[in-house]
Amino acid sequence: MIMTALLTFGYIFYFICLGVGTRLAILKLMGLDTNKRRLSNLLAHGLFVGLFVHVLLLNVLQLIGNHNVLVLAVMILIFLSCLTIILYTVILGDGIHNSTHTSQQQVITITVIVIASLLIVWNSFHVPNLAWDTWTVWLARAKQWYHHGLGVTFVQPQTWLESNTGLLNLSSHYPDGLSLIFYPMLFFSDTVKPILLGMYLVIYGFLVLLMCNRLEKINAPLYLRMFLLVVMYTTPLMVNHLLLPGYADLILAVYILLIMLGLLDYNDQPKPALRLVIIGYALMLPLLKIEGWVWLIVFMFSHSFIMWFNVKQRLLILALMVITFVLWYLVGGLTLITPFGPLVISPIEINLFNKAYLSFAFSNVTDAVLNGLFWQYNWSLLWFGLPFLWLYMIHQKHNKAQQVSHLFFVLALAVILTLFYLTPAAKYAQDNTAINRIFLQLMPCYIFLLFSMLTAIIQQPASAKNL
Amino acid sequence: MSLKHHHILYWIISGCFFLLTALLIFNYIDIKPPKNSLEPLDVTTSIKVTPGRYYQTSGLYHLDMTGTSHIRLPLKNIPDNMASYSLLIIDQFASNQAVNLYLTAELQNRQDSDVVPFKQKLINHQQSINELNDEWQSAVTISEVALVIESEIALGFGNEFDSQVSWQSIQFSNNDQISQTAKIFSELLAFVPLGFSSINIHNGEAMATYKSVLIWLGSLLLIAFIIYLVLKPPAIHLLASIALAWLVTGLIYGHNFAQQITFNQQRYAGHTQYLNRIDQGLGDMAKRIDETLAAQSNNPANTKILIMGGENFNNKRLKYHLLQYNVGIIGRYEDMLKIIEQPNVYAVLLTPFNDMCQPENQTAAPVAPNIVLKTTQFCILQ
Repeated sequence: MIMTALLTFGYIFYFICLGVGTRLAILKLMGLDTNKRRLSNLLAHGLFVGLFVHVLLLNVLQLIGNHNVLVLAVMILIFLSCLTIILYTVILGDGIHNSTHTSQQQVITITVIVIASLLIVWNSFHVPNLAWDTWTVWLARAKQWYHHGLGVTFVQPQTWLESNTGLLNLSSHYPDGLSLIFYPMLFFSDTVKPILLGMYLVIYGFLVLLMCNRLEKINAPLYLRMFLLVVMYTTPLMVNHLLLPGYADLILAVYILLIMLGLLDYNDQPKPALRLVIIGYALMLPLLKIEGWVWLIVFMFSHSFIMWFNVKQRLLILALMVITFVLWYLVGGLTLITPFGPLVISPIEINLFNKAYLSFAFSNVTDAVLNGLFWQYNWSLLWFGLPFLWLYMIHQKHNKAQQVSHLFFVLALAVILTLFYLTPAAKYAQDNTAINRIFLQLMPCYIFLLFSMLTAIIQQPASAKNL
Repeated sequence: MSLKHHHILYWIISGCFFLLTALLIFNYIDIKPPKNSLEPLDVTTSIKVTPGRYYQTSGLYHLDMTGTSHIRLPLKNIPDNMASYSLLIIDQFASNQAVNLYLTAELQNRQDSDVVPFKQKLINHQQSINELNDEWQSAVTISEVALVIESEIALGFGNEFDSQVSWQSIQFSNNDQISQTAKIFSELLAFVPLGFSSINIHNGEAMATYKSVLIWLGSLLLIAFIIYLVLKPPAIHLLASIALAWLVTGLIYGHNFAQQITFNQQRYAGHTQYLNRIDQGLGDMAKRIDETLAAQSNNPANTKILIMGGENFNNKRLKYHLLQYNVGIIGRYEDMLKIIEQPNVYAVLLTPFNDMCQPENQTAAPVAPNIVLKTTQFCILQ
């Protein structure tokens, strides 16, 4: 167990150095202000930026060939350079964070996070890697890289039978991100699961800490932040994803919330350094899962819609969108036969050059949705808060960053429901294999919005009158 | 009452609703007319069991499951009024939580309608109180009633403590013979183990009481919010109501979490690599294959292994254990025959396909692959 803990912290240390080091290097190169943060924020964002840099770096290294030793050498070299930059800045430069005195409240918060994490370790430490997609998809691919080289080509069964190059991998079209995060672990541990558990707990813990820090910034009292900790560590399906680590959904959820927190920070202090970080987090979404593209598009739409246009222009855009939709629906959509294949975007189907295909048909998944949100006890009481959150969104004045996060959440929820009601994805709702995991991707963001609402209610006793 | 005392009023009114809604939602105030009182039907000793498997010591009945993962216990005598019973109660049920228990039967909804199979999962808890569902209670005839016990292979390792299931009594009963509180607690404190599906769903079965709890707390919060809007006490009181509601669900979850800790430590200690006993067997098989191929001095990376069959648990796990090779699962036998002649290509056939390794079965094939290794569980062809 001690060995596992050491390996986990070593691995986390690598990501944090990578994140903090690259950040310092890029900002210095671009001549930008380093925008110092408090230590906990620095470490947390260091970790999340580090994961992004690592995935990006290894995605690039995949192109240069098939040598694991070379890949490791480059990784170590970059890690050492990052470490040097950090040490140089700390010792000879002007420091890397705002040194504030340790607040007692912060100590309490971190202690609670550590205790909750230890309880999860106690529960799950002996459990093997039960998480199905982890060993069939994400870890399996990392293991293939480990044995055959990071640059190895993956092929589908027919090609595999006919040729002698390439390994068989049915999920080769999934993004590599999560497997690239797992890949270096295999050099230390064959089973990987204990390190994975540690890593997921640290990632989640840092996210929870960032949520607390953000709530502290809007003057949420300590008891409310403690309640947030309780909710984050007792929501059943979220904890299950920590107990059986290795799925991409929780990591995607982390990055969705990070973008939201980043936008809120940026609204307070519009510094270029922060903008770069948000772009990095946004790019991470499609590197982790295919649906990351959807969240990225929804984020870009929400952001540009709120930030770039005033109310009049927004109404105009909405009207144009509605008219386009109605016309498209009445005309029966768009059908083009191109040399690359058919391009069909019609109310019956979407076919992008035979590369991506989606057919529309209504299935009534209301029971599955209600079971998922409530009766299977996945999210405890959380979804009872939704009507109140909507009231709060509509009836209160919010700054633009908050508006972006609200629009994102509402659109994302609408997209999920459209997907399950109108496409063949309905079957994943009815057999309970995906619907709750897709909701999970929005969950930290939803919980954060709920707690922002509670903070507002506590701060303004008069707000009740407005409702 | 002055404004500063509004929070007291808030708590008094919420408290009243707390009790009232609880009484209503958990059926303490029964609006349905009570059924005719029936004597409980004790079936503890009237089940058909293979001799030697069922015995009694110190007040408990024990069922020996050694060497099997599935046991069906049919009832010897089935009375005509079976549908009048609304509960099945297993007292002092002890299973180490590694079995699934079902009640099965054949039902007719009308005298002349088709017979439909009935299967209800029973609660895995020390006092298992199961409300039989509407299908059962509205049936006209009920036949072939049986208890089915299956050990749960998804939950890791079958150890010696799985081989025995015990109870004090099994009886069919009625609502008026058991306290509503005992019924609620039996369901809420039932064990939800961590398994393969836990990543998709926290609790897929026995949702009735969970549903009642959530409806109860949800409606309470709505009522509390309305009282809050009317009385306008400081907002912290509303927050306290929310926190209290969360505490109730948190206690249910915490209880299960604590049970998981004990269970996981018993089941998985010392087995960090393998998922369950089947997987351990597959791991050994992979080692055997590895040794066999190493003896033929092959470089794993250049050796292709075809696992014949579908994408099921066994094939997927065997593939996972052999990833140092260029390994894949192939469904078509013809595909295998096409490339098996090439050097460094091997096929692994698990049961039931390993029968094809019999020399007499191979004569039909256009080429006769060479059998490298043959065991009772699998064979390797080249």
